[in-house]
Amino acid sequence: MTRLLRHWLVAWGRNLAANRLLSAITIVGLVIGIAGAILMALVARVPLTYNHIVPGHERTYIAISVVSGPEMAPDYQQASPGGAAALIEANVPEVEAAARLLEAEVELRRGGAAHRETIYWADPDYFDLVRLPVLSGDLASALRSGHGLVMTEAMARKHFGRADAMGETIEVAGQPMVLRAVIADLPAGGTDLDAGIFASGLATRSGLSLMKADEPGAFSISVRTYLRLRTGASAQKAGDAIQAAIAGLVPPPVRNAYRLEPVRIDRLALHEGFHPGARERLVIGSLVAALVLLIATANFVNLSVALAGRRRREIGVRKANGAGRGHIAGQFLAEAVLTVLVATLLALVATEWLLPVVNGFLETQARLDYGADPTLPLWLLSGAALLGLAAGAYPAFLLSSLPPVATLRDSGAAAAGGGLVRSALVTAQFAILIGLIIATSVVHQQRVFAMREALRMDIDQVLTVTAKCPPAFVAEAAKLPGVRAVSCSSESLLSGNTFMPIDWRGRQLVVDMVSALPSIFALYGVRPLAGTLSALPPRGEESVSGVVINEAAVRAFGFASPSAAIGQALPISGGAPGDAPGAQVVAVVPDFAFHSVETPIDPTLYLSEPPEAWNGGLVSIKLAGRDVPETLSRIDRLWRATGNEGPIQRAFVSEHIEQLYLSLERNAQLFAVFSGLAIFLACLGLVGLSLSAAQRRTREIGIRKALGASTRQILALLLWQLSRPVLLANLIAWPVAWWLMRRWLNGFAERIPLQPWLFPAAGLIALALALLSVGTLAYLVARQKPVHALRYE
Amino acid sequence: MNQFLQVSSLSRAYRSGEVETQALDAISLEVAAGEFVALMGPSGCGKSTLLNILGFLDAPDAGSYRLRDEEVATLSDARLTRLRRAYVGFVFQSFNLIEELNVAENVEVALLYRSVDARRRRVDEVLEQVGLAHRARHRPRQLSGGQQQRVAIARALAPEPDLILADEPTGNLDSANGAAVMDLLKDAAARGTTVIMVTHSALHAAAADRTIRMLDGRIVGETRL
Repeated sequence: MTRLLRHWLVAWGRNLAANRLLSAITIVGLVIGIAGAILMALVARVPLTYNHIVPGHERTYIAISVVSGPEMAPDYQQASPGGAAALIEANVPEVEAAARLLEAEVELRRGGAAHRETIYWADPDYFDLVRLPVLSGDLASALRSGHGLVMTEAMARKHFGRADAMGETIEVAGQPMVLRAVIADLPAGGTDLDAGIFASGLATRSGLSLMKADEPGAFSISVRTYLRLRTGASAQKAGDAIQAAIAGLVPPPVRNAYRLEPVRIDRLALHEGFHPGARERLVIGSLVAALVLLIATANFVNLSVALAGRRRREIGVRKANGAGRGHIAGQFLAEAVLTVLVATLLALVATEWLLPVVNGFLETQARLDYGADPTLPLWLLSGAALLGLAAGAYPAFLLSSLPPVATLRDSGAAAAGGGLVRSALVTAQFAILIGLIIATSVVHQQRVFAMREALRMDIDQVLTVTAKCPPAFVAEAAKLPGVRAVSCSSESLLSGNTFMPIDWRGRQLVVDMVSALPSIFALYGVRPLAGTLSALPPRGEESVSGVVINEAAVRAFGFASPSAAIGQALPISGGAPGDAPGAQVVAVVPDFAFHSVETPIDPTLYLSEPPEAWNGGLVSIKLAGRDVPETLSRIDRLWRATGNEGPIQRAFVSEHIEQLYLSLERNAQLFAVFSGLAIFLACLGLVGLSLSAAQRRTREIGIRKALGASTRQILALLLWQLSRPVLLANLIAWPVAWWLMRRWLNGFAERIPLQPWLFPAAGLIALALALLSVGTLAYLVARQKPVHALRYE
Repeated sequence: MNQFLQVSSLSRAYRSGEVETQALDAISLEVAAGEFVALMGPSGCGKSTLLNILGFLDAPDAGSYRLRDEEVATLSDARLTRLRRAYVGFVFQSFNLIEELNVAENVEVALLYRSVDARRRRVDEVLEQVGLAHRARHRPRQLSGGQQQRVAIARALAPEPDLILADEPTGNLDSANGAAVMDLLKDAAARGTTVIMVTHSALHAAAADRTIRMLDGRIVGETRL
């Protein structure tokens, strides 16, 4: 066997060298495909192994707060009421243990050095539940005294100068605490814990000690509650029981809208509420990476068969000398595995180089760390060997089954057969390519639509300053050159995070609340569909008598039309729910929102309360669009001149919108990058195939020319034959792309229609790319003199 | 003389669409061990087809083929491979050397699939025998046609087969190189190897113990020296 392997290795190496160009095309394609797959696998690994550092993560949960209502997108927070843990532990039989963390920014002081750090105040039994890997000390008892402190190795080094600093003291938030245990550093991006310091919640100045029991009216969600479920317990049942257990903590007006849900800590990274689009991006990324790898593998199979056509004589000689089918198949499989292994090694080098770029682009923290994960090389090499076997199986089968007589008799450049399969593979490659071009275009169009038309308002050159409408600043800003208009609103205009339950004709509605001056609508170019804004006092009114609502609210309240809503009384008074129907609808505005078009626009009430009553504020400033840097400097100077505290916090609304569509933007870029790769690979493969075909068909071309065919006719023949699989690919790509993109678009409340012209356009682009790739080569072959062609072989 | 192989009523037809070509038409033939047989006849008369069947590269449609008293006409592909490995060495008109391997490696191919000890020594021996030991590291394209055919003969001789099948081994060579190749084949026959050679050359056929003439897939004459 050793002698055979050595011989195969020699034959493989020399064949690669003898067919340098085609071999390079094959290997470059594989390197790109494999590098793409490795990168996506590494990126996917982060959320899929999220919190796996915690033993028993499969039954460790965190209680998350969900606020939702009819026709309202749920709002998620990774926090819970401070009193929930004790109630859950006492009353929910499915829960074995519960413990809390409270994040705080405190000062750590040791010797003369002081640092501000984010720490966690932790319940004494927190580490019983979340058993992080300990390097030194007794983690279980570390927080059981009021002075107990636990640090990661990196934090211990930072504050004590060494990792082994057990028993050393440091002042935390003004009280001395003793390092009782050191845990391993937490994997960046691999856990929900960002801080590396855990201080005992029993400490006198601990946020947990200072926290008062939640009381009706003082309902707040500020701690993280971790739960460990009993083995085999149902999370669904636990969730229902938790709801009943904490009912007393939640004030009656929000009880129906509020829910505390247990979510497994290893599923947090892909939770739609916290990382919208992450799961979709992961699936899309993995899918397109797999498709690119498929294209590269198809290239490999095609070019292997094409190259092997030149090795028919070698196969015949080997068979004549006693080689069986197994020997020939084994040789070609070994060659395929070796080629893929070489490509994998090159792909790993490319991955090392590209990973920081990919991490920056996707904001992930994927790592290729062989030291931390010794099984990784084994996995990669096994994967490469499997890919090699899969890719080499067809060429090996085809070549080993060639009858020896035929291989010895035919010319060395004859095709190895399998023409149908090769055509099918090229068709499949181009079908994927056309699909990716369509997907790239649809995602791009939806992104542009979401960021412009779907907004239904004019955000161009609108700046927001975080402030509760300071009168002097607002009045003077309006007079600045380069400023067109100034108005004020509560922060919820952008964040949409203020909501209110309303009892409406026997049912409870949850509506968004925005406090704003009436001039805000004109500033954003929003005109009433019905009613008028002139009835509202320009500076707001102490007791709200008029309210503006959006179209979603018209539907939610059950009014027949915007006009029918005008004059209707709503049970609101001064921004708080009340029984007195004190506010009348004075105007209905179109649905517009500063949140993503993935979710429907919530029913929203715009109240014209005075700024003093607002919970946080925003000053919106519409700029003229000329001399923007100078205008911004003037606004900054004005901010200081009008006596406002702290530095000005300003941002363009367009930046906020871009942030909202980051996920969509990334999807668009992801598609664009992979489409580019797919185009490159497919064209590379086509060039390789046409090179091989040109060499194989030189004689045929010579005969055709000797019989009178012109260069143009030969060129047309070659291009037509190469175009056929591309044209056929459209038949596969169009329906699949239509179905998939329709499904994807259905995920948006506001979406573009699927344009029919997009499909033939993508097909034409693919055809043009294919013709461009092989056109020059086909032309060179077609214009060869017949005598040269006939002498060939 | 010991009978080495015996074929009787051997037929082989090729079909291409609706056209059928009868390459061999009920041929019967006996060859003794160590005999040197020349097959002659015009192009398309079935010489190469017969050689391919005798060398287990092809199978007959009908008839019997007995090798050392064992019927081998209807064996499976795997069994035919084993017989080829055990008994046969080939020499082709177009040499059929593997371009990517050097001379020694080309010869070694004949030993790779057989259990042969000391392959390197055997390769050196046969290259010495054909006078190409000094060319062992050269690639086929660096050799003349005559040298390439001598490599092909070395490859056929290397596993010491009982049967050498040579399909027009001198067809692409000049007379001097042709004579050298014929000497090598005669040497092999003299050492007890059965040699069956297809040739168009009456001169080279005269070197054989027996010349069989074929026409239209049949044996039409036989001359024994």
